[in-house]
Amino acid sequence: MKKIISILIAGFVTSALYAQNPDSISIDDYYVDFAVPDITAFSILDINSNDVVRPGNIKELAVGIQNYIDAEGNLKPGLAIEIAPYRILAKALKVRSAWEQNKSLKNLQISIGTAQGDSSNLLAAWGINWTPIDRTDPVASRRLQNFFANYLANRDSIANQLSFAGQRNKHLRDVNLFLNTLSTPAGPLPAATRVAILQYFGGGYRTRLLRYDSTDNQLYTMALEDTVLRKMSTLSITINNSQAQTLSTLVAQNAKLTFTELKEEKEFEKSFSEALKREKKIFVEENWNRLVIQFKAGSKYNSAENSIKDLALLNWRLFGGIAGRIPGLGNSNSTFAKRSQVIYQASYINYKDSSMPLKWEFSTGGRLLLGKADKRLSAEFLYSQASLRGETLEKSEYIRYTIGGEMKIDEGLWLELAVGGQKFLEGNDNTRVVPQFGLKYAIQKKSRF
Amino acid sequence: MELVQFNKNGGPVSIDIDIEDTNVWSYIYVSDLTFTNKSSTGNPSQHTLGLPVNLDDDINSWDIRLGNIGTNNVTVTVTITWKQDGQVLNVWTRQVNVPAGAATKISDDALLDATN
Repeated sequence: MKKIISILIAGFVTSALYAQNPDSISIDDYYVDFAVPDITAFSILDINSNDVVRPGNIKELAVGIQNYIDAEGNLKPGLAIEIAPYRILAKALKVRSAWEQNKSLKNLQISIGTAQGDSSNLLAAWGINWTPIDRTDPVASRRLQNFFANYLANRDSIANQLSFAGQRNKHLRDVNLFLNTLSTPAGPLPAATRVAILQYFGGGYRTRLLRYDSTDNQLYTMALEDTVLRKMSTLSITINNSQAQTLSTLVAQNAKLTFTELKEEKEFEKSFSEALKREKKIFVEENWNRLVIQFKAGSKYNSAENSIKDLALLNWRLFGGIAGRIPGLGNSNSTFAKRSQVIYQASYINYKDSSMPLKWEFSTGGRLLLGKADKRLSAEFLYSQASLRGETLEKSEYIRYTIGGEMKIDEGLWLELAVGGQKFLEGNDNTRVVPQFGLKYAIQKKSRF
Repeated sequence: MELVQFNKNGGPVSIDIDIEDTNVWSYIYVSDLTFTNKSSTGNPSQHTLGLPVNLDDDINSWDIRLGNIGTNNVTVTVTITWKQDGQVLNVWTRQVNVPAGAATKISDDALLDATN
């Protein structure tokens, strides 16, 4: 597969070199408005996503913010918090079930961040991402969730075989019966004393293996028996030879149960992950063109005095997009319905920073896709209008169009090939950023509907 | 290993099993009876273990399986609450990290003990 992709890329590069105007730039300029923009505080400020903190409750959120914004409103660089209001409010208000019914709120994320500017100034940003509907998301699919809940449950309902919990329960009952035959000088073992010894035989197999620091059946047996005998000694419990023999038998049973469970659970965990990959792939193939609605907004600020009081707005941005099957084909089983998708997007950026050549830019357009989740043909049309900064009140107004195809190489990585161009309706044609017409290619890591 | 003490003259002992922050789970709780449940049923996770006369010196065991079909690691909170006559007898809580695209199991046991 890699070889085929390499040959394809080489072919595209060669053909593009001959076809392109030397001044032309990459196909990103065609597609940039059709990739879903990453509008988070972190992408706006170039913060590494590994540094992002995701608080699970209001207390964690307050502590996270307090470290970077003090009571006087002074700011420090390094704040990178992403909040899922659904989780935080649901826990705080104890209304989890009510919130769970409103699935659209689950996919709302708010991000805030601060970073050091080029000099002593500080940059700050916020972003809101809301996907009220996403029927292409396998993780949100109730069918897939139920499939894997059943997958888990089936592991513990094997016909004609006790579950591991059942086997452990039977074993612990045997150990408890044995403990009930023992005594101390004060009399029979009370419940708390029996629990103190039963704990060595119970719990999860992982806990038991960690407790005895053993990966070997024989070492495990020796360590468990030694631990139990020492505990009995501290509790003033004495046992005779017959009782010692029974204890050895119980310890051997425990070792067998532990190592059988270890082996089978490892296999089960592996099979779960494999089944998940398989089912997700099937889901995406079947649902890649289902309804998605997405809204995003974000803003960037500068503070010369590192204070919340002198934050100056640099720019703000809005994005909205809707993708899905062609209207009227939502429930159709036809090949065309399954293999087509329409996308409509709109984006607005307002630049307050006087060093920027534009005051604002609005773009809107659509795509028609034909194909499958990972390879498809596309036709696109974009209209854009912008206001230029300067003494004149000049506007720029143009359309862009492409016809081509795209193939998914890896998660989030697409190979694109298209022909297209740009035509000015108003404004100076010299400001054209892509050729009037040309063949273009690109391999880009962009989020797609 | 938990010690759950209950009044031998009281009413039935019951359990509530609560699993937060994952949509994919199943459990098996083994006592004299065996209770199973999974996230796909949507049923409440409350079970009656039985009357005190049948529960003294009983061993209970449970395996709770947690799945994460998402692309980020999640921390799941699992709680079992034993109750009798509206009073909480004992609470068992664990926070479990479930890696992205993986399943894990958490297990434990309890000894039930009747008191006056």
